[in-house]
Amino acid sequence: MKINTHLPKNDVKWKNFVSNAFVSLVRYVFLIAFSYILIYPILFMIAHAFRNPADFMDPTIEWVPKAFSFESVQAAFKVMLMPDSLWNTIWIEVFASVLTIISTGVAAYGMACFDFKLKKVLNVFLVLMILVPPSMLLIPNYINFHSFDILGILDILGDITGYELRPNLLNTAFAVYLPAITSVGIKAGFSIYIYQQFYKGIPKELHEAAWIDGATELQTYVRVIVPSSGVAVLTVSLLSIIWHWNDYYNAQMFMSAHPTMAMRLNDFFLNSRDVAAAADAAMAACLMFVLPMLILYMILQKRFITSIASTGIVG
Amino acid sequence: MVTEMKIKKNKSFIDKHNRCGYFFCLHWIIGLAMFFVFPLISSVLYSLSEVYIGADGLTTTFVKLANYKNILFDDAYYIDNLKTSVINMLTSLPIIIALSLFLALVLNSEFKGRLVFRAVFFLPVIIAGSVTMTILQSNYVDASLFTVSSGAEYTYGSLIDFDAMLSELNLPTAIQTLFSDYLANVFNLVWSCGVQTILFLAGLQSISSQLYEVGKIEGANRWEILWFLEIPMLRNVIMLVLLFTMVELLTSMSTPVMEQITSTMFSSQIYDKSSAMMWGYFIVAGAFMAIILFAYNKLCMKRWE
Repeated sequence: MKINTHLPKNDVKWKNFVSNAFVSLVRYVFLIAFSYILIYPILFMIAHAFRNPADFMDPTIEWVPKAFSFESVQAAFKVMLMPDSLWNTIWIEVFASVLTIISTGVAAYGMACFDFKLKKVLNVFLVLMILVPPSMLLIPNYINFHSFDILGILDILGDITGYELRPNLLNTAFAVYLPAITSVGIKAGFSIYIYQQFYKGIPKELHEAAWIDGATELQTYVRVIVPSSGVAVLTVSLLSIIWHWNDYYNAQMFMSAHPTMAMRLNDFFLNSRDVAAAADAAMAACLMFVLPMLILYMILQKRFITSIASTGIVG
Repeated sequence: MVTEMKIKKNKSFIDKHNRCGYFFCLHWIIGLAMFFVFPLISSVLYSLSEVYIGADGLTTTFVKLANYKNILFDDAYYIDNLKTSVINMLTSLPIIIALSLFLALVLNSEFKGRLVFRAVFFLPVIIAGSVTMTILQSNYVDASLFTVSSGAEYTYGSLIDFDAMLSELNLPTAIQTLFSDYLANVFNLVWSCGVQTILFLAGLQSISSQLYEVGKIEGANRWEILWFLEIPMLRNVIMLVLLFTMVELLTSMSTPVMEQITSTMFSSQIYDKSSAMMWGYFIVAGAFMAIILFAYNKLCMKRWE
């Protein structure tokens, strides 16, 4: 009798163990298979960037280079115009993205916490900003910046005085900073949306407490709301910096005199796409281009997913 | 009388408070007018007129819908490109949603090395959609293990011949080609799941553990928890992911229509026709997106609330 009750129990334990092991085995197989697809290009870049360029015809060398060499990296440094293009990328793209992060936050706060008449119209434009492909606006904006005008005022003044008063803003910092400050920069629609969802979730009591303490609206925003919106700022910052870093068309259109890394990489690719020997240098250049963002993500990644979870865009 | 006055006073206070919204949105309203609405209107005007590029900038003559007629009836590629782009979107959308939800579910469970895998699944956000991706899909990488040439040809290590396996199954040819297309695009599909997986993962993490406990007490198995707890709780994320994925798929520069548009716009510098193409595409794509989001809202959101 005792044996009879004992056996099935053991059986269940054994079954549980087997099914658990099976589930985790399947999980790891899936994850490793998918990760392989994702890591492959990175490994490919590294393997090709650091091998001896003379080995590119050697079919026996698949992954681990026989001779370690920095030749491709040096070549990539040259074609990427390295220190200059990095600096250009920083002052064109990264600064613009910092401006976007700040300005979209302010605009989203206005949209989320106040109920003014134009809000419905602005919401429609927010959706349009997300939907309209950016290349639709490139040519009109190019002409816009070529002879910059504020609602035709400078044109009229120019007619009166007889001088051309409309400045050419192409290849100046204004061409990227102005859209960034006015929160219509690269993917600004998504940034505003993320912030807006977060600000909507902030309890009303916080605003009321600030008001009772005698804070003005601006003070409430700067002293109370911004310090407590770390997660939203983190989410938007990481995404916005990556989007700006990867931006090619905007910079190519407005800032062609100041080649950024994305522009150089693209030019190099278009010039050498049919030259098999250039592959190693191209991989080194890609690695150079991707590396800063990888490092940035490595630093932030632990907090990043939990921060998206608490911005409220997903709830 | 006194209460009336109080309400009036209160109301004006609230109005005053709400008007501060203009203060916060002012820069954005200016930006919208200058860098969004104005360019949008001028691109509509380009599409309705003939544009000449002269020494002193652009000159336009109004020609009504001639450009649209031109692209619809005389252009040999536009309609085909439009069709392929929309069909591509419609076929990859469900796969991307399902795959990213599945990946997020797997990544959300407790196991060793979770952080490493999560870091890996963010790679597409950094790389996909940039120049790097174009380079990775180019001839450079052709010589090695995987090949993503311009078509759908894709041989993954050629260890397993998926096409042969599929033809063994004796499926109807339509389904067979669909499957082999998907397999051919495994690389691209997995690479387009980056942000979606992260969003789903974040959504799963914001489900409270009490709900799972309730499910357990009610005796739900894993499948039931997925369908009756997790997916309904993710309804807003699914909406966001649908929108984001459709925008990414339709406006990415690698879709045939966008390629045609950018080449006519930047290489040939024909602004009138390319603007018309853009607007035609935008209207068609927007209509499909609206239908999908509306259907999702009607069929799913209402039921899961």
